[in-house]
Amino acid sequence: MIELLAKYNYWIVIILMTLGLYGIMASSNLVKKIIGLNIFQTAALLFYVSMSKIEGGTAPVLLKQANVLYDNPLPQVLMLTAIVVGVSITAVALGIVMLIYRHYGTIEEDLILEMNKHND
Amino acid sequence: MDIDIRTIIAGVFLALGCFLMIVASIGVIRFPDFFSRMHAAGKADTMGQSCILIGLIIMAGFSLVSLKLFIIMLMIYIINPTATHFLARAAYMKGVKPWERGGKAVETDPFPGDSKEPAGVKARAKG
Amino acid sequence: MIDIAIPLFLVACGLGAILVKDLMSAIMIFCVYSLAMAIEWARLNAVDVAITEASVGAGISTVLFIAVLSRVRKRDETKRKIHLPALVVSIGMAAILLYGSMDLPNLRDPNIPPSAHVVPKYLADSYEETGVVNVVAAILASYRGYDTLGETVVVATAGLCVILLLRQVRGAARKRTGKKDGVAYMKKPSQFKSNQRELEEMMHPDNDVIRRTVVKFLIPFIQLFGLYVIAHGELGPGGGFQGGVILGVSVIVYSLVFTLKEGEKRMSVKMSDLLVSKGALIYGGIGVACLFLGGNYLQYNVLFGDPKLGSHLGILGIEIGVGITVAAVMITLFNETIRRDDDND
Repeated sequence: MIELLAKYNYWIVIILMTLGLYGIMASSNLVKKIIGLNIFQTAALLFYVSMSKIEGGTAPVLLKQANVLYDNPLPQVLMLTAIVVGVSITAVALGIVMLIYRHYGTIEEDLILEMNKHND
Repeated sequence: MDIDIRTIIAGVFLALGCFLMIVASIGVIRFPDFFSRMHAAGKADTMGQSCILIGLIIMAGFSLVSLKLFIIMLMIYIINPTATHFLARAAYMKGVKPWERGGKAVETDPFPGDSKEPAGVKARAKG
Repeated sequence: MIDIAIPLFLVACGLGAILVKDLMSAIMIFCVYSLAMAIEWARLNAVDVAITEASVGAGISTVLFIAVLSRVRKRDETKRKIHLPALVVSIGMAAILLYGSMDLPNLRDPNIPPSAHVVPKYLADSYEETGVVNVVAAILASYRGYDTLGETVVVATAGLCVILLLRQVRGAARKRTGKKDGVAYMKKPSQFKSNQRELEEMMHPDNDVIRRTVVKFLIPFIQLFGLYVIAHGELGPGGGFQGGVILGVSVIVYSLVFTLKEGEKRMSVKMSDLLVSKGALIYGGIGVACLFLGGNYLQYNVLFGDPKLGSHLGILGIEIGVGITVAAVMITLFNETIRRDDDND
């Protein structure tokens, strides 16, 4: 079991990243692109947090007894702030999508590019 | 592994809770219209969650953890029926028709009116 | 076993969110994905991250996505089935990453390099140096205080960006809608508008006892929980970011249930705009106070006579600052995306 788990989360991260990247590039719908972006981002976060887990460790809240094995708190701190920044990025992106919809009446990238070609 | 009476009772509650949750999910998928799906999700879900929490309370014994679980259970008892009520009310006001025997399963657009193409799109597409 | 099952479920949800054509379903699947991610983080003992993901990823993001979706068309109209160049590029990237992952250290190994350098020092000395039991909070607020200050400012900036993007254009939009060849704005059918008014009347809080009672009963508890999470961040999982999101959610729930107008009576636009910057100001101000009292920027132990008490209160202070900014930004993001153009009339 432990041999399997040693690299398992890396594979999951790779699959999720690939999915996110494919979603960003392949779908021409802007909301779907943002969902892809979010999946890509959470994959990166999962990579860091997986690094923090130690076999037999407990959550990094100090206990009274000595010689307790704690998980690595540093990646958790970095990812904690990254999540909140991530939702801010999503919100700004969604705001831009709404402006695009008001301007072009669609959120399909193909149609928008076509309209721009006609307007030039 | 020693099995005492507490573990057995907790296990029964957990199994019952899981069963109810599965029933609720099957109901959400299988029922024909919005309101009956709501009925499955609202009722069986509330009971299933509280059964699981009761099982966990019995496992945890008399401690701060079980008090917290009990508060969560109370909150679920209040929130879940209210959420169901809001959803059903909103759907009714938006004009979702209940399913009748012999009718077809209906999918209704939760945002009527918005999906219409905004003015000017076609004109712009033509350039 | 569950450590293998949850990531597989994550992959399934990710696939679903990318491939489903109906945008509403995609967003709901993404919400489930975030929730499963929160469970995975609780499994990896990253409890603070799990709380943040559950409230931010599964809560606020979903609300924002649905708010945008109520405005735009709800189907992904991508024509081609499979985008070949994208598929080739992403599979290429996957292959390269897979090749790279073979040299990465084994996970769950106690001697893994990421936990070798400064981490043992943090774990050993943080209680002596900061007086905080939760090492995550100690690193967040004290050792990496500059970092967190930067993140808080980033969050505040995002709030300001959304205000600039959506609020300004709204004023300009109303002036220009009259012109024929102006920019195309969405106009609602008048029939729908009258429905909307009727709906709003029915949605009025006086006409629904259940809603009025339950929500008024519930919101104080949500706010109390948010304050608890902020204040308890030193002793257990929690902190400014998580608690701030929960506080923001309490106001968002109020606006969701009793229309935006009622919500803005409780938390005016001006107020939330002010609070966006106030929180960052509290954070920076504590740093400046440290400078005046003879320490370095954000060196909390000079704040009071007893260094441990000083650092304790300093950390609590900046957690409150972070909480205020995050709560205000969440409220602002929600209000700006959900508000309809004709609400101002």
